[in-house]
Amino acid sequence: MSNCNCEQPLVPHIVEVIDIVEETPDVKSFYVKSVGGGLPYQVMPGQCSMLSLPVGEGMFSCTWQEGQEYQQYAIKRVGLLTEELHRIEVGQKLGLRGPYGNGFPIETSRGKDMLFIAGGIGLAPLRSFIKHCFKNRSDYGKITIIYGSRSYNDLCFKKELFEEWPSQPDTEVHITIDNPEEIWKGHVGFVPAYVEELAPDPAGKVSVTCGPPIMIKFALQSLQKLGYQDEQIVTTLEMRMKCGIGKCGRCNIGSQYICLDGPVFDLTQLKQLPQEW
Amino acid sequence: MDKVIRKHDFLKLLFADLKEKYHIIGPTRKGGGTSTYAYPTFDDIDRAIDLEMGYTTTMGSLKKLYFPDNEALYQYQRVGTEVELVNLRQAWDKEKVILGLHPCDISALAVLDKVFGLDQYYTDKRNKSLIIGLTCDSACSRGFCSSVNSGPDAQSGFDLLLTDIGDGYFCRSGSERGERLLSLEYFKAAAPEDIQARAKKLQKTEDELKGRFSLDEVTSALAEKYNDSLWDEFADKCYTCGACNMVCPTCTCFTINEKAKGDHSQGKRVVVWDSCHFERFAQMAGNFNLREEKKSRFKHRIYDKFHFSLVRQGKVSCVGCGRCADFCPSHIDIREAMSRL
Repeated sequence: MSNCNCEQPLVPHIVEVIDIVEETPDVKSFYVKSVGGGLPYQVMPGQCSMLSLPVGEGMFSCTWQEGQEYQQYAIKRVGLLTEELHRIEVGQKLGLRGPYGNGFPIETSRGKDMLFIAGGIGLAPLRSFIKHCFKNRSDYGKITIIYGSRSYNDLCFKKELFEEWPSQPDTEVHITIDNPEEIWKGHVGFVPAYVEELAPDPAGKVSVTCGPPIMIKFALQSLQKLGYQDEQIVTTLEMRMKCGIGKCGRCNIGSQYICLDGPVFDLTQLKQLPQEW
Repeated sequence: MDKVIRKHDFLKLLFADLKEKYHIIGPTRKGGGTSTYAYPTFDDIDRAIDLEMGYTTTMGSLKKLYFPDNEALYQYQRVGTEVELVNLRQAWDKEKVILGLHPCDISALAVLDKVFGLDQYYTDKRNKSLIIGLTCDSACSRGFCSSVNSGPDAQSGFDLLLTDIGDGYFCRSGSERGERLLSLEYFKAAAPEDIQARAKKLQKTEDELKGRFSLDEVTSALAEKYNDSLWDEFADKCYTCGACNMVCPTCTCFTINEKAKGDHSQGKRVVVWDSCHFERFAQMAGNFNLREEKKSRFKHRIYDKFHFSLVRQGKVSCVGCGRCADFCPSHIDIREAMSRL
């Protein structure tokens, strides 16, 4: 493997990319395993890892399910590191360290109806929770997924969205795109407005939201309008991080470190923080 | 254990003994008029004559020794699909003795310990350090250590704590290593008048520091006044230069930079000091900035020192050394700002 001293928290392990799947024109999924085979480490839904290449490091949410020998990262091309990641091929070695963060409330949500609200690449972190619910289907009630993207092409995980998830028992999948397109016969409009239009009943529900910061902000407002209580509103704030271990001082909002105490917070917790997010 | 050493013995005998075993770091103005700064600084000391034990404050704190401003973590090399890492961090080959550290800076080390305590290189350096502190002869111009419980006396965090009592130093041990040192023959038993001299010295400094800052008032004001309009006024004066962060003994924010070849085939990942005042400090993907406004960054630093740290660790992380006020090019003194809140 590497001759690094891995007792240092900032030094990554070396992993290998075993598959790359193009999800949209600017989103690719990377499947990674340890060099020589095996899972790098277990990751709970909502937790993140620091991925690196010789251009930089970045925090990405991870999808992994029990029994899988690999981890999956769906990554949108937005900057220097992600551009480089989009250029690599199967077999490439990457740096990886983690897992970081608290993860989604999978235990306390048991027995409840689930409402997942996502925009764009924000579906990636939620997907790990959604997959967890489907794998343990009887532990959770009705599952409602509301997802939107800029355009049809930008919708991530199309096979799951259009085939796998809608065919699950007691599950609704609602999809919207920002602007009308000829090939698109479904709903058009922004996600928060669509949430209000669909008005899923708050009774017995936990809502989990992820997307661009501006979408999160409006979606949380929509949920409050619909009568969701603060503790029913969960979101994940994946900030830019450098260390991931509560040292570098970059991701903290108020006294909370996103990398340690988050990235998953409910609105009760968020309301106690300075309104910076 | 309390003992006394004559200044002459300290500079001649103890210094020589220490030098044999340790690499000595202490306050110095070596270079004199030709040095870049007119301030004493912590640096390597080869000759006792270079020591400036009567210094009031230094510009840089000791944090650089344990948390370098620019430290390469590892080197990486990419050949085809392979990536290889080589550790670049280095441990000290020789133990160091830190001479003349003031109580505020001793307290600051405890704050650093909380942040970096899990890092084995950091811990190794701390274990290889013998801390010989020195209480202040008089209050420095903008310090307020007595208001944040980090001075003028120190209770822990040192191996030996000196107090200048005229022709000698009163020496109090704070560890086993300190006690062993005190058993050397040139340390003499402390007489009652020596103990009195020490108390008098500390009382004088304490009196000078009185009323400089009220921690209780500040922490309760901060808890309530996050959205006060005064913050606009304070921040208006700030140049966001980050000087306060650099001289602060407890500011530990850092970034991790790439120093790489143009094609990124080879490079180093380097930890570099960062400043929460810098505009892009909390910049996220998608052009989203947590603290885009100068005001929110200014406020963030103050809250981080006096409020967030209190919530998180039950203790403020400011040690009251006054350096941020001393070296702010815009003459912002956080004491003044907070007294108006």
